[in-house]
Amino acid sequence: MSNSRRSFLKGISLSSGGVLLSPMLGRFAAHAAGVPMEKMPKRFVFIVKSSGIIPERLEPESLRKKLADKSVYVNEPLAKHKLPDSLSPLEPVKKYTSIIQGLSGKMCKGGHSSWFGALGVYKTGGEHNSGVILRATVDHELAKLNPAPFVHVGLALRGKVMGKETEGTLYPGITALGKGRELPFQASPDMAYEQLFGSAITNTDRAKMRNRLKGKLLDFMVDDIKTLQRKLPRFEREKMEHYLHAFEELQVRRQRLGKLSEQIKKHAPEFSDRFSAKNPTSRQSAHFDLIAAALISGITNVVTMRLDNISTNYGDLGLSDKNVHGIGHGEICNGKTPEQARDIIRKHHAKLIVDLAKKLQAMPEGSGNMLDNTMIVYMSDAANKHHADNHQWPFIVVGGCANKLNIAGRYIQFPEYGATNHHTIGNWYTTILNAFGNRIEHYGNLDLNLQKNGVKQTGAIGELLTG
Amino acid sequence: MFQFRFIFYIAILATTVSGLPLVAQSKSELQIVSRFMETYCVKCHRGKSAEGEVDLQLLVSKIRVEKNVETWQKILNELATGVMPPEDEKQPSRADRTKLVSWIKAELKKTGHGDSEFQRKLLYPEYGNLISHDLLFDGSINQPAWSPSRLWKRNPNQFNDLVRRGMGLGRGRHGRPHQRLAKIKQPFTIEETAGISDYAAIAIADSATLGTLMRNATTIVDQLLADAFQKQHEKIHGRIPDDQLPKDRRGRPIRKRYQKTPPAFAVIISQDKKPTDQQIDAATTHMFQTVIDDNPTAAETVKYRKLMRSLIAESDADEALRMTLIAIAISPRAIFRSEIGYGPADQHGRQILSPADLAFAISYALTDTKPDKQLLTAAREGRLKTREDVRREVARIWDDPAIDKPRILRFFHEFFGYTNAPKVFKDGARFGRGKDYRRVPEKLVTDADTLVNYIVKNDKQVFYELLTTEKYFVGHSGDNQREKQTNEHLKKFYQYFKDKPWKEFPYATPPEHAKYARSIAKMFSHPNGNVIKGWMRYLTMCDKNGITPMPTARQHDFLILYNLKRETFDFPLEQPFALAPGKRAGILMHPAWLLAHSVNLDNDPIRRGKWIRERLLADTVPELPITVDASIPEAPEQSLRERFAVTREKQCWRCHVKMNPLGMPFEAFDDFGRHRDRFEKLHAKGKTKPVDASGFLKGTGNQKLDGPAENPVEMIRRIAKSDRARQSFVRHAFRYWMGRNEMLFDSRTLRNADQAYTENNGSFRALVISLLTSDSFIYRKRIEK
Repeated sequence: MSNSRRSFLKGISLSSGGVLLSPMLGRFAAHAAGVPMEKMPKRFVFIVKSSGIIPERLEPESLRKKLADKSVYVNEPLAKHKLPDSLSPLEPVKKYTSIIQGLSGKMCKGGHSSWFGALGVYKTGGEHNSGVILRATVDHELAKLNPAPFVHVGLALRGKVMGKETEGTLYPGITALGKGRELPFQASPDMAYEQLFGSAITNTDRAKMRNRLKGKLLDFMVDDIKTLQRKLPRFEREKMEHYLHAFEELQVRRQRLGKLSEQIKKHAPEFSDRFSAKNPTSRQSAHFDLIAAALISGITNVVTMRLDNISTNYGDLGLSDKNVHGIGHGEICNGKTPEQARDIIRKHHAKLIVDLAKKLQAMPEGSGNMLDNTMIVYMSDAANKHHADNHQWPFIVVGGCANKLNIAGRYIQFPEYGATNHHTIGNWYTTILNAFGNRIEHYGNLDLNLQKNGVKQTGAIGELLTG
Repeated sequence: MFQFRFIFYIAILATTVSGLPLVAQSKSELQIVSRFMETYCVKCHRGKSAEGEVDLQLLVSKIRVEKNVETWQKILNELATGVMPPEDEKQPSRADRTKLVSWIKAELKKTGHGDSEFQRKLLYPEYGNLISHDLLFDGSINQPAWSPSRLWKRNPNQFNDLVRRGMGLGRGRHGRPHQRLAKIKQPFTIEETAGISDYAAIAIADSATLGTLMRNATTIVDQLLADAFQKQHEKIHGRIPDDQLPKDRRGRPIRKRYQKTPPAFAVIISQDKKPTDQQIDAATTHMFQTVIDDNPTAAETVKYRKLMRSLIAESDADEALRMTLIAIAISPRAIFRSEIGYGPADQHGRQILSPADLAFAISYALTDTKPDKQLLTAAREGRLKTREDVRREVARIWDDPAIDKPRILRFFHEFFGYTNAPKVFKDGARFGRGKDYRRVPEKLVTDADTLVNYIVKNDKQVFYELLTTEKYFVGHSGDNQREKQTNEHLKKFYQYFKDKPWKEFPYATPPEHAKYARSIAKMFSHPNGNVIKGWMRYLTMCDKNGITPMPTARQHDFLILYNLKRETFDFPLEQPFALAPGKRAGILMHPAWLLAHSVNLDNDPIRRGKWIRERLLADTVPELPITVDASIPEAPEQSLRERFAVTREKQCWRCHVKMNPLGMPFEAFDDFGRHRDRFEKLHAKGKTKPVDASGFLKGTGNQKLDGPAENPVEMIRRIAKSDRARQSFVRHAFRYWMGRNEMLFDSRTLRNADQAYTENNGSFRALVISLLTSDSFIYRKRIEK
């Protein structure tokens, strides 16, 4: 652990500046109190589905003709077009919705999952192994820019792309906190509830005393582990580092949550048995409730949701014959073609997203609402199909993106792979990071093939940036 | 090509076979490198039509590793794992390949990138086969073996065992945890990988582990202290009057009762003065024994005493005790088992494990629980210091039937993977009209377990028997005596009831009949009308058909997967029995394995072939390249083998040749594991075609065994005879018991284990004892690089 990171963490915990203060002030008051929009927290929700998103299925019927030539740049307002049926639930938030096509990600592993590559832009992993972690993935880079007590919340329906586990802490292998460190995802909504909102429930004298003692305990543990660490061989020291970091995280979080307990009490959803439901769609909606409450109460600004994996069976959507893997392999499912089955699933996903968007939209913030300062990204870790070739990587974005990106309400198609002005997901993530304050020159690895052919592929996509 | 395979060295290997490190980048070295590349790589990887769109021509014309790090890393990977050059192309000599690999590694290191991905791979079970099988077993390496000094995260089974034993709150019933522990959640997870999974190096504890541990610790400590706190409360405020308590439905007050607080804790809470050092130390020791299964060291005692004192200064003794106990429950010792090594290092820099660490290592090798009294006594009295000491204790535990040793069967679960059968989703409707598939996979797994246990218990030619036995267990407990007794009970039951009007029995069986049924055996302890009817229908049918009944009245649908019928299956009381000689042999043709290695609708010849290639032939299969759109055409008229013809394309076949010929023979079974001579065309009921179950075996390292195979039984028999397959089995046992991949310096450990196995007539016991008394198990070495 570097000293700089520790001091960085401590610095954040002690700061009483705009970012941390604003949720406490309350959103209405914030603006009045002179906290400029600029200082308002920006929120990000990455919703990562499995089995790819087929690019053509996102094309509005009325735009088909214009989109037929994949070598040209298209940037059309969506307002004039009807969304494809599977995206129709997004109609009410169409002015916040953007569909972004034509990006490629051939520097990532294809197949069932690009693992950390999907959000980290590099090639890694095998069929079952999520592979090496080179760097923090883009979602976590954004979390670092927008700190909150829970720096980054990971929720998941299931773990690894082919994993069968559905409970407790899982490791889908898509989000990394830094080199060699993976974000744990919580798959049980009831446990997630307890972890996110549990601390604010009681506030008696005894609880306060215990809270104080817990602080002492954490300090003791950190010192104790460091002493132990010095006696270990190097490789094992690194193992202990993860454990040490876990304690430090708890220390910082404890301090921050203390300041937010009123907010949490106000916005935490009421606990009920729906958080213990077992069927996938109910669990998904329970997770989405948690996402909304966590964002609204200000305990986190960034959530990554592993929406499903290829072992998921969408029986409740009438697709009981096959799991996502079967559908991905082109098998007929309950009499539906794979395309139809995928549309049904996508429509269900769109409904989940629109519910979340509406909840955020209903929360006033500054001169607008919370959705204005939010970016919900819907994508797949398997780019464009079940066994992705990463030739195209479709994205759907919902939210105002704090007016930093010039994409809301637009259908954007970039010229296809290899063409002039073609862009990769590396450019796209660079654009997002640049827009939200990380002026990185280029995020991620380069596509060697494009490099060989002299296609420029570094930097942000200028036309997507506002101002 | 296999002989050239996997010759590379990671830092911790520290093994030099090549004596020619090409570190300095002189002009002549660059020429050697270019010549190598020109000869073996550039021929295909050049220009616009370069294979895999990887053009190496430019790269070779002016070698600058620092400018093309990623490409060189890739080249390193391909060369070192032997994937490139492809089998049908010209091959470099082993020495040349080694030289180039060393050169690339040295150059990458200079750029600051190194071969970290590569090294990291070797930590993972799925890359174990990257280490050359030939070098491991050809006797050329005779270094002393060791394992790295390490911490090993506790595994979920060890945690479950701790919870089952009650954590000071009492044992639960029926082997389940006590209900007071219902809120305790599993903090330890193991990466879900195919195969051996609990590896020390990759098991880390992060914030999620800690979060769960923290909640568990709070729950446990609060439960342990609740009684003392309540008593203390009553002492000060008096007993809560009955009328202020919540009432049950009969209006009686509900007074919460707690488990008695252990005296070591209660004494601190009950007294008004500050605790003495002795009291604190006693509490610390008790908590260590409760959650860590061990005593604190002297330093730990002092440490927690200090913590307790500092917390008392902040609050009171009760709260300080509570927090100190929580601290112990989340301390590193509660999470990691240490295998550091102690005492002076020998001339190879190795230290032996301390007697206490050895006691835990031995116990956790065979069981999920803490060391038993004998082990602890041996450790304490200095009788756990030598290889012979370890051998004595391992043999004692192995041979003691009273000690539960779940780790042995679990090895076979992880090696064969048949326990995944229930995880494969199958359409119940395809299973058969009126048939219930729901519990079928679990039943098959139980049968497979019985077979494995039987063969391991017999301990003769264990590996060969597991692969080739034609005798199976079907619905049998594995205990012939017990089955005969059950059969006697059933006869008695049938004789009594056959003349009674059982068909008319209401749910409440007439008392005199119920009493008689109960008197026969415990299996009839709830003889309601439905139970009696169920049994009698089945027994009547058995009597009519002249067959011996199974020991259960219902859920016989799993028989279908053995090609058996409930109506005609004459249950052999003595099992295992010859089920279908010539058609089915060993675990790989057990329906549980076949199911586990199938997909929703079909067989999975690729995965089956890959399994054999990797687990039995100690070979590797390259990962799915990204350009592949792996889908098999839907063609109802065709067999799966015909549909897989698409993999014959040149670029596919390079990898598929390693899998398809090994997986296709299992076409002799359908995707439920039923044997078939003909297959039914998809969507065309009644129309059948003969099954082609032939295959081709290559890679046993024995030309007499390699070659075409008519059917799976023949193929597996030949594999089972090969040294390579047996040695591969030994390698997997090594991985399981050492918690890591074997390295070249483990060669002696592996050869000894293989020898112990063969010299003892294929005794698995001898194999495991050899592993557990090996240097790799006993010695540790600090790795600082």
